[in-house]
Amino acid sequence: MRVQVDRSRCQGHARCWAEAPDLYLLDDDGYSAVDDVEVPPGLEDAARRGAAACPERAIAIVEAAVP
Amino acid sequence: MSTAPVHVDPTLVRAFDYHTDPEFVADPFAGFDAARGDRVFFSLAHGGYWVLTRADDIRAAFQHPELFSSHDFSIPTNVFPRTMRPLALDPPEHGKYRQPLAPLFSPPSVARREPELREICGGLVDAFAADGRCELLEALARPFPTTVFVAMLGLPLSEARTFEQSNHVMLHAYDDPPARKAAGAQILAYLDDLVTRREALGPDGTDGTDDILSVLLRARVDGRRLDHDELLDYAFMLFIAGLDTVTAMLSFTFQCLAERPDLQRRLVEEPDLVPQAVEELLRSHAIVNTARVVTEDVTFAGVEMVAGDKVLLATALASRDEEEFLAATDIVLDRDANRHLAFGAGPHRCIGSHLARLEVRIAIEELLRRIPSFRLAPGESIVAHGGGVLGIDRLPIEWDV
Repeated sequence: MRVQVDRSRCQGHARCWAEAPDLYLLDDDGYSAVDDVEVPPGLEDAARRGAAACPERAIAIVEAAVP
Repeated sequence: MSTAPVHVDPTLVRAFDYHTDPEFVADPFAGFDAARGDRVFFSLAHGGYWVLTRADDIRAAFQHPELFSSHDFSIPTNVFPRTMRPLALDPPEHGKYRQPLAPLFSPPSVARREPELREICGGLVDAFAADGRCELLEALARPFPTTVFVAMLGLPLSEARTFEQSNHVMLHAYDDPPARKAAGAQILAYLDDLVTRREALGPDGTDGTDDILSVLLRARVDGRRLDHDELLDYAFMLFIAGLDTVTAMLSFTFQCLAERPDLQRRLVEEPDLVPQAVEELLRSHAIVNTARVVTEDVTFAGVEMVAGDKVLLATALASRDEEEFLAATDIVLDRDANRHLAFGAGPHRCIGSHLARLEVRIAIEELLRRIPSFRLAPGESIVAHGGGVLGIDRLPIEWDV
């Protein structure tokens, strides 16, 4: 599972970071510092909550393909 | 405006006034809910303006400053004694002036202030907890954000009282325009003097400290330092944007809790729920009604808008939209995916949002810790006000000692 953050839409609400601070890292100004990351095992739910909480709808979840 | 402009379909004109209509002002959130129905309508009040009612449209307007400019962001057009920088700027100019403030208000910077904020708030609540009753605005909702602002400017906390009184008169003494003007001038003179004193300390302000003016004195815009006028613009803008809004949010928060003992009980029993509850209170009581000006003729939300039209962006309409939120008019303390627009969206997203949510969280925690159950004082009436920032004028509450 991956998360993709459209950083051009990020406005620093940091609601993703509030849900999953170890996944959705912020830069010094409080905006997303990540654009496309693999979700570590165990953080899947937090990743989904973070994406769903984005007021700008800037985060997409890409589920791993079923082998 | 007595008749609609020719490009406005007369069937879209509604009698709607969120500033002074007594029925609206008595319960502004119910007033916005009642105005929903059509996707967009037009009000003739205060010079005339479109009202977008759907979260999707309001979000899109916030996200498209090239179509919806901030150069006039209030209804009616506000006349401030300073340039509201960066609120009244559009990209790319806006970003240049917003950036120096960003690190000061980022979530980690704000989190570092938590012990100081908790001490300020705790001290205020301690002062009235044994009384069994208080008027919450005077006792907490006004002095708390004012004292935080004074602390962030690096001033002695005793200065808070001066700001609090001037601010209240400037923003709310509608019946006394000369007093409002005098209060605005007094604040401006104070801030002007403060900026001058900081500049006299040298180009790096009070070297190394992280109070707002020191950070701004070290900042660069287009490779140059900010001048005196720009520094004063920032100070005045933060004063306007950061005090009355938090006062209003705290007022609605504690009114809501006072009327709902079930919510108080749940927060006392499940303190870990407070951060989520803050988001839900922000969503259900979104207080800011900002506006934009249409930059070119455009079809938006299914209607023809022409350049120069004013558009109301009511954060409560966006945040209480049933198409966006299940049971949108209910308060669900543990609501998931709470992507409310209480702080707006797009490049002008409230820069103080992380500080504001921390102030609301601390106020709930510190009050409930000392006063686990409280109620509205019987026989008192709550008076709300409409306009650009919805609020309450008085909130008398009582509790068993």
